[in-house]
Formats: sequence, structure tokens, C-alpha cells
Amino acid sequence: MAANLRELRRKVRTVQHIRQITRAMKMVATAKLQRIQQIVQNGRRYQDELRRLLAHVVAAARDVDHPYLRGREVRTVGVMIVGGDRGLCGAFNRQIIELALEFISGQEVGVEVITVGNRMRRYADRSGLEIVGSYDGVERPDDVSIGQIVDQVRRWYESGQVDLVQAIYARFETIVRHPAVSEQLLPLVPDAFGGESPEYVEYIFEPEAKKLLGGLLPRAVGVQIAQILLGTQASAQAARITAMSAATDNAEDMIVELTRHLNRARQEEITAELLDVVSGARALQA
Amino acid sequence: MAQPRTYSAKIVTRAGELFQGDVVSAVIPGAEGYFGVKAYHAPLIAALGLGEMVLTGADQHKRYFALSGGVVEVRDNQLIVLADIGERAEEIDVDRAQQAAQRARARLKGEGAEKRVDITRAEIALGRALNRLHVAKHRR
Repeated sequence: MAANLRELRRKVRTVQHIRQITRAMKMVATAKLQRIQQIVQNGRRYQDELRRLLAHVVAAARDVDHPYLRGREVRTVGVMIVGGDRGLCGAFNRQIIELALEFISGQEVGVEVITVGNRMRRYADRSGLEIVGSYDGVERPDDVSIGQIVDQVRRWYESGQVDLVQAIYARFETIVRHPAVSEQLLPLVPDAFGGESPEYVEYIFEPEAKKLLGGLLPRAVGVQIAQILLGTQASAQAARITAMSAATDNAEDMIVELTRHLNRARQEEITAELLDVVSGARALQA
Repeated sequence: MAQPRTYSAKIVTRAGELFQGDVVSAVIPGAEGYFGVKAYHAPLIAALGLGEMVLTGADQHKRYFALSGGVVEVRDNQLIVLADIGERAEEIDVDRAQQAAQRARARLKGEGAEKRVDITRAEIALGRALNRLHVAKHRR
């Protein structure tokens, strides 16, 4: 009986510790999300403006050709899979990798993969994918690895190693909405220009349109990749907040339940001891 | 004297918006040289270089910005500057800019800078640092 009591007390303490940890993790994730959310939102404004501007240039300079704008026969597809570095964020990483595997299994041509986030690397390794590059997740916009990833993706496409680049990541919409999505990165689809087709305006271009586009298009792709990387990090933190919040609630439920058991066990023990004493006294009186 | 005609101007970087408001004129560091924009300028799209941007408001108040790279569009009496890197004059950290300039100079002189990439990088860094120091002189 006493052993059971001790056992229960230990269990309650353990769950209390777990609750402390999950609560702390939730707070850390909340703080991180706030910081990165601001960065993502600022970046999105810039991205929107750049897209609009790019649409204007492309509309005004129809005759200009660029590999980023023109599709070619697809013999190899490049897939950039972006996810988290750490677990304890619910189904977050699994949803991304599932979408990636679904996309890859639908391809009839060769597939190469770049992974961002070491969870993605592990999954991709296990699935036997051909990984040509892998990076740890990024948390800051000035992180050098963003530049490295952008460079590798551009070279990947420009060198002809792959003929199309697809990005699979978690798009950050709100704290509770951050779905895994799959979208084409290169060649640029009209969607990349905001979808609208602006009226024709006679622009002065400085330098000439071709040179200007040559500078603008890689910049647009770079911004898009950076937004994908940072947005996915924001999504990972949001997923962690939800997961840790649920874990904290569950721990609380368990503590209540265990405490109830504990109290009952303690009372039973006291009753048993009392019974011993009383019956012992009776025996002496008799 | 008639009120000078104004137009709306906006400077956006990836880190946020540096300016939004009505101005009378702008001087912009284009990739191919400085140029000015006043109201009713012809539609224009130009690459940005490294340099100082000056915005003049209707009250003749001037605002200064250090910019590096990007693109600018003028259309429908609106000016939009999308800068790769941009700072308001009053927000420039002069000490940091000076240190950056020193570091870049040291790298240019140093023995280690044999690789061409390193030299180019150091030159760019030096240019940016000097530009920031120059623009910072206008701070109030």
C-alpha cells in the first residue's frame, strides 16, 4: 500500500515537471514567432511591390526573353523541401514531407532534392531520394545560409541540371493556419507576378529592359526563396505553440487525475491503519 | 508663389518601409548615375545603384537615405523605391559604419586578400560603409 502511494506521488511530480517544460517551450516559441512574424510580414510587403513592378516590366517588354520566364522541356525536376529543424511541433514536419513524397511520386522524370531543415534531410534520406544539397533551417533574414540556398537553387536551374524547381514548404498565414503547400519556383509562373495583367505603359528603362530584367528576375526569385524559408520557420513556431499548448493542457488533466488517485490511496491507507489500531485496541480490551 | 506640385513617394526595403508621403522632388542614385524626379515625371523603371537619396517635401524639408541596390518605378505620379539595403540618415550607426570601413580597408591591404572574390567583396563593403558615413552627415 505505501509503495503504491509513493509511486503515485512520484508520478504527479513527473507530470508537473513535464508541464513546466511544455509551458516554457510554448513561451519560447511564442517569443520567437513574434520576432520572425514581423520579419515575414515586412518581407511580404516588399515581395508584393516587387511582383507588381516585375509584372509591369514584363508587360512593357514583351519581346525580352529570359530563361526564368520561358519553360523548357522537363527532363529533371528539382524539389526544394523546406521544413523544421526540431520536433515537438505536432504533425508539422510530417505534413510537409508527405506532400513532398506525393509530389515526387507523381513525377515521370528524374527528381533531385534540396532539403532545408534537418528533419527534412532525415526523412528524405530514409525515403532514398537523391539529395544534392541540404541546409539547417534559418531563423534570421541576414543568415548567410539563405544566400547559399538561393545561389544553389539558381545555379541548379541555370546550369540545366534541373528544368523546373518546385518548392514544398509550410506557408505562414496565421498562427492557426500554416498549411503545407507545393508551388513552382522556376520558371516563374504568371502567379509570381501577382496574377494581374497590367495595362501597357510606355516606360523609360534604365538600363535597357533586357539588362534590367536580368537583374530583377534573380532578385525576385531570391526574395521568394527567402520568404519561403522564413515563412516556414514562422509556421514551425506556430505549430510548436499549438502542440505545446495541447501538451500543457494534457499534463494538467493528468495531474488532476493522478491527484485524485493519490488522495483516494492515501485515505484508504489511513483507514486501514485506523482499522488496525482500533481492532488492536479491541483485542486488548477483550 | 504657387504651391509646388507634389507626388507620392514610398521607399520599401525587405526590413520594412523607410518612407511614405508626399514630396516635391527626389534625387535618386540610379545604377547609371543620379537622376531627379519631380511631379508628372514620365513612366520610368530604373535600377538603383549605391548612393544617397534625397527627398524634398512641400515645406522644403529634406530627408536623406543611404541606399544600395534595388529598383525604382515612377508611374501615375507615384514613386516607389525598392531598395536591397536602405537606411534613414538619422538611423545610421556611425561607429559601426566606421568599423566596417576600417575592416574593409584592412582586407584590401591585407596579405590574405589574394582571391578576387574577396577583393570585390571588400570593395563593395567599403563603398557601402563610406556611403553610410556620407549620408549620416545629414542627420539632425
